[in-house]
This record gives sequence, structure tokens and C-alpha cells, in this order.
Amino acid sequence: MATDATMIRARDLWVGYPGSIAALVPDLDLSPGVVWHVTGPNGSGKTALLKTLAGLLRPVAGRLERRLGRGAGGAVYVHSTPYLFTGSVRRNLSLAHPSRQQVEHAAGAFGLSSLLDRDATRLSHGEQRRVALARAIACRPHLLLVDEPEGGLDEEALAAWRTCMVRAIEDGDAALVVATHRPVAFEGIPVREIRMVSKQI
Amino acid sequence: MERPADLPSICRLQLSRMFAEIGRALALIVNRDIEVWQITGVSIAVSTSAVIAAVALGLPLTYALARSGPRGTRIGMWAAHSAAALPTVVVGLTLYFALSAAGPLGWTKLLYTRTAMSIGQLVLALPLLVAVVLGALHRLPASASEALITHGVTPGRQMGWLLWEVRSAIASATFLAFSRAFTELGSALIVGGNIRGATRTLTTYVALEYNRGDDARAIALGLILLVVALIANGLMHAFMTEQ
Repeated sequence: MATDATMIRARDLWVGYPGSIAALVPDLDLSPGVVWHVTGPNGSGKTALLKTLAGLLRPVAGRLERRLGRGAGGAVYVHSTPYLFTGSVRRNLSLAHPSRQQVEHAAGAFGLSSLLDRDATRLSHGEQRRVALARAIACRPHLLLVDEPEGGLDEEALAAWRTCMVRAIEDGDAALVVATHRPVAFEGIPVREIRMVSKQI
Repeated sequence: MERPADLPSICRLQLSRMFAEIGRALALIVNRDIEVWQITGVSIAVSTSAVIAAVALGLPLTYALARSGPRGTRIGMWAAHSAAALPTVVVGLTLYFALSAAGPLGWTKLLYTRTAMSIGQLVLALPLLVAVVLGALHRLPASASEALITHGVTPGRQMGWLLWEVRSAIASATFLAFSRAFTELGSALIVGGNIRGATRTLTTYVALEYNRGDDARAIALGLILLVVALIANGLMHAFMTEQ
């Protein structure tokens, strides 16, 4: 049910890319304190939904009310294959101008403290994914949208990420949307599921 | 009966004359002919200002084209590649008619000035820069600009981040543009006029000395032209290796 804290409200929302088939999303009220799992087969529109909620894609049709901006304190989307900019891990974590303390805190949470001055583009795939997650966490988003976090991340990094998210959500002002093939439980936090069915239209 | 000319000996004669000319040319350079160095300075100044203008105009223009979607990129690529093939004399002639007293820009009184030469070289250098940098921006994955947008980076700073990602291409394009500007003759000759002490550059001077039959001077100037172009090339490679 929609409340005043609702960050995003979607009705009859169709998501997709220009010139391609779109998918219909069930009605949605995103509010803080909840984890949403977006599930469905490959090509069912999970990424398109996340990008639309993040404000990176225009809805194909339907109504979408976004009550939060992008970046710090807004919605941040993390790609399944993230792009890291040339230069150090620290430079990447500073993308949204967080404080030095936030950068170091995010790096610490993802075991990146010793890598802060390393060239980000030369890290392993798993390390790069950790940097991308830390980069998103560093700007303290209210809505974090993560595309298939299990790819390339070891159990330790996944646990670190879950801990970070649980802490942010427990603080009461954040929500998490995860596109995944393997939904996992988040201790003490209500989890809901958006099941994307195969493409329609 | 007269014997037919001994061909190999003629070749030897030509070759020894050429070496003698090159020797005289080198002596000319070593003896620091003031005029030659002044002309080299004019060449470098005219081409450098053309390239600085090309970078200042070209980078925002290229970025705007890249951000305007696949259609804008395609049109930009096509236009840049077409313009990169412009013959230097055509650019020179067009600019000449525009800047001549009766032309639409005659009031600027820029014909036969270094500024006019720089403008001609800017027209020649800009398309090369746009083509190379636009290609590099186009090859960046969409996730690069999406990462900037989703982290709330302002549009102005997005441009800074993305251009920094393609800095090798920008460096390469800048030196290519400099080579094109520095070594062109057609436009510089037509809109500059090869005026001694004013608009005489290395290329226009080489053409003049060749026409006058002073091979040594022509070769000396050609060597300087070559050395400066090679230094620019060396700097580019040093920068690329650094990256």
C-alpha cells in the first residue's frame, strides 16, 4: 500500500529499450525498509526495470512517479558488469563526492582498504564488482538497485554487501532492489518479490 | 663514333650532386640562418594556435555529438570523415574568396595574415580531431556514462570524466591534427601569400626555394619540417606509452 514514505510508485508500467519489446511490471510501491527481489528468466526485462526505476531509462508506457533523485541520497544503480574509471580505486569511490570518511568506510566494508591506491581497471572481476558496490554505498543512496550481485562475487563479498545493506535499511531510510536468479534472505528485513514474466506485446 | 652515354655514371653524378646539396643544407642549418629559424617559429606558432583552437572547439562539439545518440554519432562520423578528406587547396581557395576584399568576410581584413593561415589549418585539423575522439567516445561502453548519471554527477563533470577516459585518443588526435596543419601547403600559400617576415612558413618557403632552384635551401627547410614533425610524433608516442 502506498504511504507517504513511498519513493517510487508504478502503475501499468511497461519497461524496455527503444525499438525493442517491452515487459509489463506488476503495480509497485517502493518504500524504505524493504528488500525487493526481481526474478525472472534471461531477457525478461529485469535490467530494464532496474534502469527505469533508477531513472536511466524512460518508461515505455504507464505511470511512474519517482520521488527521489539520482546519486547521493537518491537512487543508484549498479551494473552487472560495472564500468570502472581509469585511475585509483579511491578516485572511483569518490565519483559522487562523498566525504573522505565515507570513502574509507565503504572501502573497509568491502575489504578494499589495502587496494585504495591501486589502479581500478587492473583489479580482478570480483574486486571490480566490490569497488562498484562500495562506490554506490559511499554515496549513501536511499534506493540501491543492484543487477545480479552474485556474478563474480565470492561469499565473503556477498556477505559484506548484505551486511552493508541490512545496516542501511535498518536505519530506516533505504530500500534495496536486487535483480537475481538466486534470492537470498536478509536477516530481519521483509523481502518481497517482483516476478518478471516472459516479454509481453 | 661516339659512345652512348654511360647511364650508371650519370646516376652517380646526380647522386653525388644530391649529397653535396644535402651537405650544404646541413651547413645552412648548423650556421643558424636567422631567417630560417624565424620562419620555423612562424610555422610552429601558426599551427599550434590552429590546433589549440581545434581542441577547444572540437572537444565540446565531439562530446555533444557523442551524447546526441547513435544518429548524431553516425552523422558526426560521416561529416568528420568527409571533411578530413578536404584537399588543402580547396580549403585555401574557399577561405580566399571569403576573406578577399569583395568576399563576405572581406571587412575582417584577415587575408594574407597569420590568423587567416591559422583559420585554414583549423578547418583542416578539426575533422581529424572530431573523427578520432568521436570514435573513442563511441567505443566506451554505455555503462560508463550510466555510472556517472546514476551517481548524480553533473553534466559538466560527466564531460570531464568521459573525456579523461579517452585522453589517449585525444592526445593522438591532437598530434595528428598538428601534423596535418604543420605540413600543409595549399591553404597556407593561398591565404598567407608567403610574405617574407610575416606569413612565410616552412612549407611555403620550401615551395618558393624549389621554384627558384635553390635546392640546398629547399632541402634544409624540408629537413627542419621533417624534424619538427618527428618530434611531435615522438612526443605523442611518449605520452601514449605513459598512459
